[in-house]
Amino acid sequence: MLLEKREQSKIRNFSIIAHIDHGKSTLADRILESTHSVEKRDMKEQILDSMDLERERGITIKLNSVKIKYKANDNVEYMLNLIDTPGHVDFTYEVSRSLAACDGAILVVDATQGIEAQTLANVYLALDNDLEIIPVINKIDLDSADVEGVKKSLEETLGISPDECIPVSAKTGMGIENVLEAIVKRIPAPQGDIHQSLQALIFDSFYDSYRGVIPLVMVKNGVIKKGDKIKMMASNSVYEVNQLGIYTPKEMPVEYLAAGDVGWISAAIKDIENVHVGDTVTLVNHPAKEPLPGYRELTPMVYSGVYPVEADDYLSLKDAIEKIKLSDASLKFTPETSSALGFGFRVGFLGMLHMEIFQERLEREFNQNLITTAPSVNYLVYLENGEVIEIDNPAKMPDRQMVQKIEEPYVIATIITPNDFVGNVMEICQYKRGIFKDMKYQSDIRVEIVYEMPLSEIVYDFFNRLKSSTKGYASFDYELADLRESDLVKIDILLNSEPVDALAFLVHKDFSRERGLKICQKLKDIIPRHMFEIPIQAAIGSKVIARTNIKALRKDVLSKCYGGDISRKKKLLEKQKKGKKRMKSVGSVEIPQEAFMSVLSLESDE
Amino acid sequence: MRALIKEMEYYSDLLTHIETIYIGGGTPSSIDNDLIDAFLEELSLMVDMKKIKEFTIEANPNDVNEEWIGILKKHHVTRVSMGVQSMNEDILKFLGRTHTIEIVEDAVDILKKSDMNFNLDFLYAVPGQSKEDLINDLLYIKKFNPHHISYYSLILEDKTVLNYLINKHKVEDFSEDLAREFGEIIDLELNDLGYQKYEFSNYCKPGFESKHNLIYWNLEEYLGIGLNASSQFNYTRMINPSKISVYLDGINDKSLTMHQLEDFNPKLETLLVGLRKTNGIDLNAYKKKFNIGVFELYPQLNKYIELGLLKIEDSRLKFTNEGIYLSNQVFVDIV
Repeated sequence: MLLEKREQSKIRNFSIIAHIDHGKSTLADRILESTHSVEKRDMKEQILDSMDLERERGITIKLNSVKIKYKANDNVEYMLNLIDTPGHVDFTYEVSRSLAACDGAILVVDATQGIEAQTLANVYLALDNDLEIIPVINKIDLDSADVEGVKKSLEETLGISPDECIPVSAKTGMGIENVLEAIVKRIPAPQGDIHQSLQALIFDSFYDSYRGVIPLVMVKNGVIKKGDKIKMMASNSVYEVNQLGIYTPKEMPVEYLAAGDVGWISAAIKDIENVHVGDTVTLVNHPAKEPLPGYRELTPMVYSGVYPVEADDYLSLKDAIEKIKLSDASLKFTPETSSALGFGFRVGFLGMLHMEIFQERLEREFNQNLITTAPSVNYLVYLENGEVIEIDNPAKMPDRQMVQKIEEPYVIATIITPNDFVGNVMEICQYKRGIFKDMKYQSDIRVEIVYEMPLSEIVYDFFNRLKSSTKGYASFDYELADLRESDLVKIDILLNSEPVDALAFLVHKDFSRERGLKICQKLKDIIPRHMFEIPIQAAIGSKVIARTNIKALRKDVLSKCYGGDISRKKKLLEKQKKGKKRMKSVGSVEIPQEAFMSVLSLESDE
Repeated sequence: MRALIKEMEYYSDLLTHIETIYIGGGTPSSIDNDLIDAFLEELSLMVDMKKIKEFTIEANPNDVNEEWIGILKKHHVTRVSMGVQSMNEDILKFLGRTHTIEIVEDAVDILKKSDMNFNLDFLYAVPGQSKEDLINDLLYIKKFNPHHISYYSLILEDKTVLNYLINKHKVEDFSEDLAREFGEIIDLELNDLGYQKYEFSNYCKPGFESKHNLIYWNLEEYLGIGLNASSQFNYTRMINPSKISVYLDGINDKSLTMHQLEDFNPKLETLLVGLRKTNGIDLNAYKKKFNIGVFELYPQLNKYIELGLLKIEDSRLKFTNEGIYLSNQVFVDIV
């Protein structure tokens, strides 16, 4: 379309927000289908989730944008930009990034589940961004759907009028037209001015081995064209645009992106460091006076050591992490060394799922063979000499004599559960050192419970416990509250009398003996028997609080080997060798990768 | 049976050089007497039986009877290898064997009367086996007094039903420590009974080593006939098809491509199979054959001499008693 004929009033930028599993990706699929944005033959489930991991886990991790043409009942053809967002608590940051590029949001609530912890968090985010909210009640085709009940609780909890709610079934397509009409009628057109200097917000980016870094932008003001000389306002780096385009959801080149448009820019950007998500792109010739307000820099919640199994792979691991960082701005990493594991990185994550996804992406997309240490939170340590230091790696905790006090992060945890499980939920929260704050009924059967809890206790298997003790019905969200003094001790693990720094962890004093014993037991099960006996000890300072032994290997022999067996037996030995190679030698002890995470799963075995 | 004979005809040149014969792979004893008679007749036409130093056939205790023995003797079979596995009926049932103690006793009687030399296969470290069960088996061995014993520890390889049951916790796995203890009891008892341990799992009265199996452990040439049979000659190892239809088609078409060639690495395999013999391998012969010494090729073996798993005696490299039980630790380091 020629720039002159372009009508900004016919553009709508929106996203879909929902609790996990409430049908966000299915709704997006139906919208694409009913607007014929995707040919029937190209249609597949979760079409916007392009990562294998996303499809396998049935979740959205990354944002995606897509341009949709929709001819509304008023006979006008509108351009809808849908920006898909993740639903999990760990990816709140991604959600807030995509919301900043929108003028409205569809709030999907499952008619069989009602409001969940994440629904609330998402709505608050949308309201913070001044977005128009279109509440959609999904899965009305199911027998257990309670549309009226959900409407009522939306009104009571969030002040949303029942008249605004649109009942749909994303599965069958029922009600989708109403949603599209509401997008056109209720969401305002983008406010930007095409005649002002260019200001385009980078809300995401990825690395393409042929084209370099591709930033995804939302143009707030002005126009960007092919051949334009652009400048990243934060890094001051300059590039020439050689291609730009949109997603339909296939990548499609266009001549320009103007105020209100969402699209990608290819400008032969080779330096990963020069593109920051949240930065503003402007033109070299007519630069904007100031950048758009960027994103809030997020502080990671948990930190974990990430090491290559083979020391030689350090550089390739570094390269891989940098590439993931491109499209995952919330990731923070710094180099660190461990006497047990050598050179690696301390990586900060927004939560446990974020960490898992990161690990899986490194392994699958970048073929890295990794050792990850058990996650830790960030502690504030007051030393006797008056210094205050931050410790995100238990191995780095100073000697106890030097420490005056340790503060650990607390969160406000909101749990929504059917009332049958209130007792179970409270029991877990108490066990996890939680402090009860509030409890209110959302409806006759659903209860919202609020606790203050140490973040470290949430990291250690809280979510799994919560799910299993509520038959999967409870949902959970948290936000950082403050730092509080806790009576914490560092537990060192000694293998063959040598401390293994990567296995050290911090724990509340009351749990130290119990956890120490459990981890010794766990390591005994995980570490294979060697040709010599290996003592395992858990110690606080020089005081051993728990111990066990891995007995020496007694028998490792192939019983039979005759003429027909040789090739097969050779393969068995090669397999055994491969298994050994995946382990990390620490001193004379070979430790399997999973041992370093074993402290995490201590609870789940009970 | 016709395919087997056809395959042997194909190799008739090679068959004139052979010194040992072994009919195995399950239970050749279950074949009808007429048929085995006819097959052995064909075989004796193709092989110069005067040159054969050892001719073994495998047998299931259920199938051993005087008439069958008569057929074997007529066709110059010199040795029977019988799978007893255990003398405890619960364990036999667990292993899915259909014979009983009484059947084994009768079969051994017949073998003894035949004057043929015989081997008995036994198993230890079977889930549920107690030390008393083991001692009981050893007492039977004393009574049966075979010329040769193959005493295997039960190995649970992937995909077997037993492994499945263990993973499902329906059967208790046998502890590694107890298996080692049982192995040592067997070594001691059989030694007392006058048996030499000449290979990891094989014991014999002096002079009764299996000549055929020593060919495998010395990495010498052998020819395998039949379904899934493995052969090694001319610096090549190959294996016949494991699917009966592919095998039969291959034989009928006289197809040379039905074999699957296997990776053959004599420098390595001489150690992998040769060190299974308790008197190990001749270091000088190795250097002469491959133009490189064992320790030049595998310097990591020195470590295991220091650790006491390997030793050198009379310029032969061999496993120590301890080393035998941990031999995979050494092998894994050289594959």
